[in-house]
Amino acid sequence: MIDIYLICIELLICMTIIPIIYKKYQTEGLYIYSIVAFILSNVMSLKIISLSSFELNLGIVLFTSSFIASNIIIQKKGYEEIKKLVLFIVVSSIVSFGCLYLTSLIDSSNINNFTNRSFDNIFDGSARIYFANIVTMLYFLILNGKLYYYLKKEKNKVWISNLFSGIIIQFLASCSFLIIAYAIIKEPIDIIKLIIIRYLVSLITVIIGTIPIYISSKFKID
Amino acid sequence: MNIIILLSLLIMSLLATYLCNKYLKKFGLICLFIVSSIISFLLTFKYTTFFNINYNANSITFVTMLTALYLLLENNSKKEINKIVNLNFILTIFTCVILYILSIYTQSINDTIGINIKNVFFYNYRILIAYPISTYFSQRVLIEIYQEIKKLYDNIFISTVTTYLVIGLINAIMYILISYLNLLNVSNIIKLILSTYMMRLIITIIYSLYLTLITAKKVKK
Repeated sequence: MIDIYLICIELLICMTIIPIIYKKYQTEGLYIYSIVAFILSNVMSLKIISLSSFELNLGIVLFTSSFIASNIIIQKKGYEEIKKLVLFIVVSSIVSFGCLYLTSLIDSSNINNFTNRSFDNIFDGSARIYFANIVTMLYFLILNGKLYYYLKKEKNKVWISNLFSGIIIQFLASCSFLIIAYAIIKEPIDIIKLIIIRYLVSLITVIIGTIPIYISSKFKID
Repeated sequence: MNIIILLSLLIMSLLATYLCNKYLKKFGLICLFIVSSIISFLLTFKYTTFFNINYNANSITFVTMLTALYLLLENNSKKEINKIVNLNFILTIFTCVILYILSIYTQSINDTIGINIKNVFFYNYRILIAYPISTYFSQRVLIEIYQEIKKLYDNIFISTVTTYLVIGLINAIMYILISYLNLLNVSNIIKLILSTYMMRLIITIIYSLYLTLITAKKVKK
């Protein structure tokens, strides 16, 4: 039960910080938020929790919040900006993984030995999950941008654009991440269970994410 | 092996600094500054050894972060830089909270990484507090000092190295005291402060020579 509360707290923090950063630092702040959220999402996705009988890779709230931030950027600056955002996110994720992985290979000191060894174990064999997260972000952030922009042009309603793009893209992103990360390692039925719970959490994040997009659209900046 | 890894990390950081400065200008440097600060935060939990000297594993990324700040200070006003440093502080606090939340989730029965995550982020909660405070404080002092030194000596090598001599010491003392006071004995604390400070000083000197090279090319053009 405590894990559900923690997911709610994480969600609340992300959805509060997005409009604050947008108000103070405009779209540049959102770019940087998305990059940081994705780097943290990569680290979090290495941990798996159990929600009743379902398993879930963490980091999904931060992952989806990057999509919310990108939707605000599209809302304000158009679709072309997303290509730049994707480039920044992917490059910084690869660099961060390189730094963390290479550092885990360096000989540890005897000081704080217990922590040093645990640190090395976190990033040992984590490449596949990292790769799955980065590839998913690379393709589906662009796809989400296209769909969101199309819906915005057609209907010009924040909630329609956000919800419809979220419902489709988050399902595809959940499938993509889990298939790349766990195909062959896990049974197909386990992967389907993982997809269902991941999609459910991301869908809740997308629904609540409509609020920061709506609030941000009311700010008269940029 | 250690030397090869350290060299590849250093080359990767120098290349990132060069590319961000040359092609992406201000926004690229802001990204470099904040991303290296976050990576530095994640790496700060590990201590590595190099010829029997123990130092913090984030030394290279920490100096990269400071270098991005020096480059930003060259072309932007103090007010703008203070705003960027504040954004970095907000995001390090955000990272700190997220890492702590991550460590208190109950991991699944089959998950072994979750236990290691708890060992790193939960039991070292003092580091989670020490890093944002020490980094924010040293960055604010850096902004003040760098511009004063720049007025006295208009040479990027002297300005960056002299600024580091002050900032590096303040940061290392603050960070290690908050993180390890009462946990390690005094002699180990002093050794850690000095070794981390010296390691970062060497990297700063390499970086400063590199910066002199980049800026000299710009002047020629």
